[in-house]
Amino acid sequence: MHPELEKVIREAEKVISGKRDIIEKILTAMLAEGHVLLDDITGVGKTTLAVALSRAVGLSFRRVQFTPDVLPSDLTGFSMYDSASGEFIYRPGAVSGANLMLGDEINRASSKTQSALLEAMEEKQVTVDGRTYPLEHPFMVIATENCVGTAGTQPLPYAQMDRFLVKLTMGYPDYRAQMEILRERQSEDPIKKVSAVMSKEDLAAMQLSVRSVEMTDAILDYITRLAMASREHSCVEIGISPRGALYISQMARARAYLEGRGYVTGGDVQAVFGDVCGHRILLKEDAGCSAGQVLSELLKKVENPDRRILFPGKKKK
Amino acid sequence: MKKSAAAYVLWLFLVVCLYFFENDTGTRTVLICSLLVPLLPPLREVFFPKHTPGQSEKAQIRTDTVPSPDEEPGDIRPYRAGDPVRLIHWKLSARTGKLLVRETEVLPGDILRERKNALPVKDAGEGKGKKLLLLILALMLICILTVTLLPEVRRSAQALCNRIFAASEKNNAYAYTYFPVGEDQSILPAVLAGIVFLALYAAGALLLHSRIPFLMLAAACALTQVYFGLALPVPVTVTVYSLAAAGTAARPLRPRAPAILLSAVLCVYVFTAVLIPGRDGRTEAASEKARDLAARFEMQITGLRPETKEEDTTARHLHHRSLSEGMGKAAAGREFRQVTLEEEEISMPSWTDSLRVLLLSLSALALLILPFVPFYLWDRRKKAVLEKKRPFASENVNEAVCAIFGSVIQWLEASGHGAGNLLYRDWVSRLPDLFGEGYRKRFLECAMDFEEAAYFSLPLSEDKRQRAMALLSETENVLWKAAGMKRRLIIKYRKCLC
Repeated sequence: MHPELEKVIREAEKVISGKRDIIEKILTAMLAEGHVLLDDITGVGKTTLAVALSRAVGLSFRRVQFTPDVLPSDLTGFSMYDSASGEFIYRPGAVSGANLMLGDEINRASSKTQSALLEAMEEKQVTVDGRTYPLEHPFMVIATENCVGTAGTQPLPYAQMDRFLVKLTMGYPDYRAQMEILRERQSEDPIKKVSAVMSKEDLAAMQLSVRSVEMTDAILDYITRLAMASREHSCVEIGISPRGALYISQMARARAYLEGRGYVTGGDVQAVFGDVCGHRILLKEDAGCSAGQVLSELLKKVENPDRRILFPGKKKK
Repeated sequence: MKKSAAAYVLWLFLVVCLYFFENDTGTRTVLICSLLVPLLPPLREVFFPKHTPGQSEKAQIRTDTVPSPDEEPGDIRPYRAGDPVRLIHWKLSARTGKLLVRETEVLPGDILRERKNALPVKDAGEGKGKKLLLLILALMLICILTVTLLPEVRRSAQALCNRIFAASEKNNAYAYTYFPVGEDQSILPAVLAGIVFLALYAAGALLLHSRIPFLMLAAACALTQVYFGLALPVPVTVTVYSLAAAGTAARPLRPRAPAILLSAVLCVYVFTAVLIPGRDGRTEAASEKARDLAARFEMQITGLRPETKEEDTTARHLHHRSLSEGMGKAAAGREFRQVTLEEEEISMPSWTDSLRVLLLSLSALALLILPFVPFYLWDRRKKAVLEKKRPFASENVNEAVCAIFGSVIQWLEASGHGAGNLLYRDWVSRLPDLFGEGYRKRFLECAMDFEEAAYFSLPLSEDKRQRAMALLSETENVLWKAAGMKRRLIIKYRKCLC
């Protein structure tokens, strides 16, 4: 484990107990310069987690609660006529000035607001009235979706889901973690206990070094074969897109970096595969199985790179 | 050593059989020579050499791992990283101040080196050798086809057989049915074909680097002689068996070996020819009885009734043989009867006869070749194993670690403990209880080493190779201990280091 990132995880764990894997995954996505879609029920600590992480990494944090009447300009900012100077001056919106933005219940926003956010995520800049304003660097969005009470929501289209690096679920805490939460919240707000152990410059530097993590052809071959197999799977309508494959490699690199390794292994790919691709494959209507099942089946079926390297001649059917 | 001894015992058995049935000066010479082999040091050296560097008998190397103090110790070389500690020659190391190891234990890399020294052809011109071998086989086949199918050559072969019969009749009391070919039929083509065939066979055998083909040749010769009661002229006998024996000499051949063999055979030949020439009456009588018994037994089996009367068999009978008639009916050729001068005419061999002869020749060829097939396969397997182990000693530690770890994986898979398409580091959770906690820990370490070796371009340190080697030997040990009889055989086959 990377020593500094280990510290970050420790800090975040002070607040979110028993959720180390999700902290690691979000941190990995952060290192891979991607955005996270959290698909979960309310009250499991999505916001707390995001706040804790942003504090531990030393990022500025913004939060937007989406409702159908949140407008694109609320996010991107708008130009306002200043009668004193007689000019339009730019009022930054929610995404500006934030390193980490939590978009709560993104599926409740109107589709044009969603697309404004997605553009900001993709371009890392906003354009208002023909002028382009760069966003903070690093910039990351954690968007949440509520899987219950979806009435009156605007579900994210498939193409827009593709923009998120990973889609994660937190799930309920187990017995011990729940006890811990109850006990800790009695005294004071645990968020205050989280101190910054890194700066955003450190994070930017790490994001750079993640790109130089070594990835051999065997791994690339593995990712490619996984993507191809997903496209040929009988239950799948639309398989993993080239962008999806690219994201797998980014995420795997980041994971290797998080683990303190200078190279990507097959294990990295397998570890991130489900999270990266879960929302990227579109199942056939009569598929009769879930995306998760399809992905784990793919992992089982597609020959892993370890095997390929040792026994290149043997072809597995 | 074991192999040499087995070969010698087989050889002795052959020669004794031969002598029993065809006792004359030639076979006696061969027998005496064979008996002299373990007794005379120079001869013994030719067939059972003491351990010398670069010698291919691994078994022998292993048996004398502890060199006696006055003896020149086996190969000593400086300690290399990765050598087992128990191989260190402490005494010498203490004397010289440097770590020295005995090269008595066969390490993967060492076997390779040894084999390389011992069998240059095998390693160097691998593909070429195989092709050559095939070519030789093809040529042998062509030889046989020529003899059976070309009428001229066939007639000449029959004439050659007639000559051999004639020569045999001088030496024993059998009457042979001659082939109906003219007296003036030239035997040259058949002799040539025979020589070519034998030369090809010898070349193939030399190429195989095995003594078995020569043993088989001698056996085939001896069996033919015994079965058909052929008594070859003395010089021919001596030459044929001497050559076959020379083929079974230990490899690599010493330069003096042919001279030693030749002089020994000459000495013994002169000795037997002068002092105990001719046939030995008692042996002759015994062999006659044995032949009778065998013939009766055969007739019981085949259901053929002898045409001879009782008194004829008890009397010194004449042994009737006909190649063209007899071979079709396998054992039926053995008939006992008085051979009269006006022997019946043998019908001209029709095309079915040619077919028969062809089939018989082919089956003879198959008999000559089939016995080595297991040896050949075994040898190939051994070579494959060595080839697989070649990267273990590679300069590139990454490659070595991958190869060694791959071998561990193959072991586990072969013994049914594999976890299929799981990443190797995840195999730990699937390992059976057979493997202890410590093993799991080491396996995981090595799996991570492997990942680093496979996915990272930076070279690993040397101790990772040793760690992997240790894991490999531990795996082998555990699996061997847990294996049943059948499984052990499989393991033995996979290791191929017996």
